[in-house]
Amino acid sequence: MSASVAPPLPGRHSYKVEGTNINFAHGTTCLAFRCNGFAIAAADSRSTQGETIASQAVTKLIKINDYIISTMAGSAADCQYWSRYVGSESQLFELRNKRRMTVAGASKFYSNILIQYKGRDLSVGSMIVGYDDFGADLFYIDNDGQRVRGDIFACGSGSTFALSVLDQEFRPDLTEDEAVELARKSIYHATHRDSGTGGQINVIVINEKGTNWVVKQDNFELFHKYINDPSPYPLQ
Amino acid sequence: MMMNQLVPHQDRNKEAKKNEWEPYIDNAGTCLGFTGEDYCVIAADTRCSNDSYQILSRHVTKITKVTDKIVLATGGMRADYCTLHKRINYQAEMFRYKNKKEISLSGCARLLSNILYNNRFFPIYAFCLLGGIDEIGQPVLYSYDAIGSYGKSKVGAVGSGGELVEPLLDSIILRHHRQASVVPTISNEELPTTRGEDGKPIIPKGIAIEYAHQALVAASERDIHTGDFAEIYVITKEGVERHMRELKAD
Amino acid sequence: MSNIMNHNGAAMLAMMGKECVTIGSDLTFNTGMQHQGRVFKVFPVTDKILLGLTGLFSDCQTFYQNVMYEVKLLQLKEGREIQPQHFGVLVAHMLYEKRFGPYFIEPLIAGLDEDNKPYIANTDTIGCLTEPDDFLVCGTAAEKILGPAESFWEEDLEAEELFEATAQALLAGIDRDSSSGWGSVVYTLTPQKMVTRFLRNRQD
Repeated sequence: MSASVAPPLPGRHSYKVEGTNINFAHGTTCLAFRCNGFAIAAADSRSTQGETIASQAVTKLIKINDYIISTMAGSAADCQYWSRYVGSESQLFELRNKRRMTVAGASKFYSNILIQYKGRDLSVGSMIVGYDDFGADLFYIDNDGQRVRGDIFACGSGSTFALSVLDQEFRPDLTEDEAVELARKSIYHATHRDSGTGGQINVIVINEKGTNWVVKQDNFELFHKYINDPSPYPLQ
Repeated sequence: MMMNQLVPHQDRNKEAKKNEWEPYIDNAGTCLGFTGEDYCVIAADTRCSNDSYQILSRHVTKITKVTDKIVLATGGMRADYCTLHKRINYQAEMFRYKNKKEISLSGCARLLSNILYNNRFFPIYAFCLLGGIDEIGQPVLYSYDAIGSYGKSKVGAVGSGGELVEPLLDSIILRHHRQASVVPTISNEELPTTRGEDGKPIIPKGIAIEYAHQALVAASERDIHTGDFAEIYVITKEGVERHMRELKAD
Repeated sequence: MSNIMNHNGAAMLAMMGKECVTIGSDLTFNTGMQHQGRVFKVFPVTDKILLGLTGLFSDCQTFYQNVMYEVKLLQLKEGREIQPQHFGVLVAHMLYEKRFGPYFIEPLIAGLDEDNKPYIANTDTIGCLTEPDDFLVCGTAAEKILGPAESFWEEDLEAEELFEATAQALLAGIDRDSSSGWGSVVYTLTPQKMVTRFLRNRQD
């Protein structure tokens, strides 16, 4: 890990503490997608420091407000702190303007903060999922200042596994139940194959009624449901 | 890329590191915490060691009592966590004067997170465990990283022996993989007899203190930076108790 | 994960009891961050010696083949089975032979000798032999197993108790290590027989 680190730039040195959850983009799976009338956000719950599992029960789906969720990949502290900050600003916005902040607005606000800190080693890769006056909406933002609207996103080390399951069955006209099952299955397969992903599988549905935490299941419970392996042990 | 890694990487960056100012020292030590039915246990050893193999002190506390219901334990760099403890205690005291009541546990947890994140670009080298009794009388433990990400957890261990202690706590406190069908279990363990709703045994306070001690004994056996004395705090609704136990001193 | 020793991931633990030894390992076969499948990492040497190999799995396989060549050759030459103590020394020598281009493996040896005295040993990658009389850990999850093992192990445990201590320490450690898991297996070696037990693990 330390071998490939570039020498610090003169003047703008920022110190790193080993054992901090910096760059655990390499150990997570988050996905979000948008169907007709609702959006889904799903994530695993493992946080790793190197190879050690720091926690198996982290909440990677952070509530910005009752209608907007941000998913967390990258440095845990950066995501938590700035989501909290955007959350409090969105509350103030609501008090000032007597209407809710839109998902586009919240993600733009978040993205603008990240642009301000560009080049200072913030590590954030986040999907902003929510429901507003214009329907369900979904953005991907990151610490480079990218902000992209889309229908399906996934990020983290297990995202390739999750996307390959998700892509196979995704349709925009999925019902809520189908979509939740698809999200759970996608995250499950990522937890199974990716060593940086694991713990519980969390799925949140966001629709006109707000956010609804529908799934919080342990990976262990789902093993026999999804993996049909007649001989799980190798032959010696 | 793989070829690079085959070469032992000990000589790399040495030239670059030689003249660089190194702001951090890891004074090491182990802190652990867990919650029970109506109590929260926080424990730490009292050794303060150098980056090398020297012991700077055998009687150093890593734990501070913030209020009668909140205790903070920290591993990492001693200079940093002493300052951090001071700042937290100062803020708690200011809260007391301004509001004529004690700061709540969740409030204190958020405060600590903000203090840590305010130093995002020159982090405080401190890994915190904040435990206590919250507003509704439930025992809660929060664990932190150095730049302020935090979350509730049932067990937590930080510091040099954290990796050794954490799986041990998973096993003896959370009783992972200890289904009833399994052979009775390890013989020297005093097993609590009462069981909670989930079928897992309820650990009484007295045994919990012994478990905390046992965990630190295991850490001090295999981690050279942990040892001397175990300082164990138990937080209940009634207040904070402090127990001292001996550990290995070699 | 940049370290070649951690590329394939492993957790291994051997414990010594009263006229018995146990050796347990996980089953995962990783490449970097991907779980590829399951493999056994503990290999039989004789009826009373087991050799657990952690590190780069291709080196493990090669080393096992080489060491078996020596063991079988000795068997043919002298008409007797190798004792675990001697096997430990053999392994150490074979590793030191490659001092300047080492196998990326850390072997763990568990066995009973002809007097049924238990024996465990491990070496580093270049063959520094350690022969303690309690327990040994190896692999990416080594540190995480060490804590529970230190707490659960006692002197003169009987086979069943020793199995329980091994299994509990192994499971606790594996659950805190991201690159081991996917099932595990514990072998209990007593003078009469060898018992193989599979453990239910988390699959993530």
